[in-house]
Amino acid sequence: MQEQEQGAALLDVRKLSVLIKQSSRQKVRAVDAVSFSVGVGETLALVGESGAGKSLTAMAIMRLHKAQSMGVEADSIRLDGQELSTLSDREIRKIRGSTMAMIFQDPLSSLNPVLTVERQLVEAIRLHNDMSAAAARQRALELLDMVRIPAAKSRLGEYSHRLSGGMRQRVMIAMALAGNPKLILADEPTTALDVTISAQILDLLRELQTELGVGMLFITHDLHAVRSIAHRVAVMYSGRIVETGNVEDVFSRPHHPYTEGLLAARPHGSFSLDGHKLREIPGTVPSPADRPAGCAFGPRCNRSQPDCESQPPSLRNETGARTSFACYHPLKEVPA
Amino acid sequence: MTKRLEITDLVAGHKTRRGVVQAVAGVNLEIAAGETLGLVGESGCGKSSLARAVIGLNTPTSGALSINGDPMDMRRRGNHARDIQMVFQDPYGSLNPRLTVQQLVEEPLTVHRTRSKAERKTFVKALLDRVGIPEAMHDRLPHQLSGGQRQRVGIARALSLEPKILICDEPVSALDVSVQAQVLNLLVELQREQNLSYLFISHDLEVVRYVSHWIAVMYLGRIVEIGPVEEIWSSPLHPYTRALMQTTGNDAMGEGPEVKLNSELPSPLSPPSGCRFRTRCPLAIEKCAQEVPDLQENGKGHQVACHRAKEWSATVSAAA
Repeated sequence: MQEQEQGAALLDVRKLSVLIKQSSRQKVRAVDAVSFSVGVGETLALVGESGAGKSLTAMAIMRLHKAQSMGVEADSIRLDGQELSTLSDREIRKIRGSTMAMIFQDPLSSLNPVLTVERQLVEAIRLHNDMSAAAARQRALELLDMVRIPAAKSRLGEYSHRLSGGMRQRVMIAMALAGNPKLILADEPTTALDVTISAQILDLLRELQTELGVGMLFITHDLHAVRSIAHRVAVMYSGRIVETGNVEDVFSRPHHPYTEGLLAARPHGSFSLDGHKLREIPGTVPSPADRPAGCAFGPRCNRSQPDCESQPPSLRNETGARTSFACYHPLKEVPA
Repeated sequence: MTKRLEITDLVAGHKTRRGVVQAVAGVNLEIAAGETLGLVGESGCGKSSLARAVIGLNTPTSGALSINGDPMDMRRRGNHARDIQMVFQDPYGSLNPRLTVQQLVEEPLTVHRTRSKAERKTFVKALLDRVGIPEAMHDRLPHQLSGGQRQRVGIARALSLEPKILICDEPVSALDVSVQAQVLNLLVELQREQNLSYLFISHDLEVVRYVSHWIAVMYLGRIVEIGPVEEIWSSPLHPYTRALMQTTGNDAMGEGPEVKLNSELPSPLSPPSGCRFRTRCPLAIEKCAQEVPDLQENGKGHQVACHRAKEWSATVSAAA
């Protein structure tokens, strides 16, 4: 799957690891050699529970990780044909915000509280485009219209604390679009929002993607959001991708026991009517420091065998399976 | 038959610098023994204010509460602590960081002077064992526990006085999916064993559907629709409920108007006249601005507060 797509891929990440320094000697591999690609106009969802390494992956691509305490290793990170991993900090700053832009989970702490919406937008626009102040102001207004902010003109003078959560997230999206990016990394952009507002933001992102043809790396723990926005999905567990494929295939025929367990753990139906219990995944996600030697999911897995403990399985494609998965004893056929 | 918990015309507000917010504007609810009432709505709709008023953390402006038919004196919450307890959303913020698990669960018993010291110890052990905290963890502090374990301790603490009613305010929202299932299973098991009544607050409709016998939908301080769980799930009548259901991709929903919300919750400081939902409702008519719709019975205990619901109630119910 990866082989044919590599030519067309907008973002192609090979064996990206993020190491967190615990002490001078000890380093912990919080993200362990993940590889994936995002095509032009495509959305890849990185889904997983807290501590899976989703956000770190995005931060490492943007090179926004804390350099003092974290190290990044990668065979390659190619964006639009350009290798990012060898670029200097200065060079990456030019790409960050223009070719690739990020939307954060909490727009209140990501927006500057003492600058108006207009000032922030104009700053972002002029940083990446050669534009007069007046033209940039015009562009700021266009961007607010583009993210469907009603009465955009009157919003330009507002400060972020005066906006509602949904409006703030729209402003964040407008700022991300200011540099005409080809790739958007969205880190849990709807998690802090109400269901009704989150549905609106997902609609907006989907429409913008069709309009602008951008690629998107969408990070979330919300399986609903994945279903509604992504084309492909990569399920992460304890710093590794355990299963990846088209959203339909992964959701309807998961092969990795973790994916299957995650899908089954979501409430469905009503206990009061038929008294069925939810499927539990026993235990909790291991911290990267005490990840087991073999398959990280092994201790919580009901299909684990002695051979799971020796070495972590790598992502592979099995004939007849539509997804790639990292499991020695995958589920063969799961009733839909 | 008297209900386990009855809430009558409850009004609760809080003062802000810009005026009084009526967070709960006249709510009537009842919960039977051994049943769960799920309460859903957006943030700012008054769910938590309602919960806090019921438990006595806020004094309601007006209204009455009764437990098993006995009226509750709402200014003396201590008197009701043995009947009604609360499980909070953030198990970290609601547990004293300097008490051990054992002490946390024992504290309510000490305060209420129930049982002898030795009895308390065995009782707490059994209770912690029941909620799935192994004995090796009884001397740990909250920060040494995972989120799911903390929530189990929160549940054990709420149950230590053996109340009959539990108010669960977003008890699983802060937890990961795989841990959510563990806690939800625990809650429904405990309900069966002890015949508990739950007021279960959540913004996650599928979670609410799973645990609830009844669902009430709240919007800006008012209940706009209430009914048996499958009735609400399969034939939601209020435009707001329909909009919420659409966000979950509920495809069991009977045929009716499709509602997409484009704007956000108006300020609760100055709620719209008439129907409070009308400013966001694509189906609003003139009448909606003038008259406040009351909850109207629509069969099987399904009540809806909408002037226009009758127009589509037949098709919605028929398709379901």
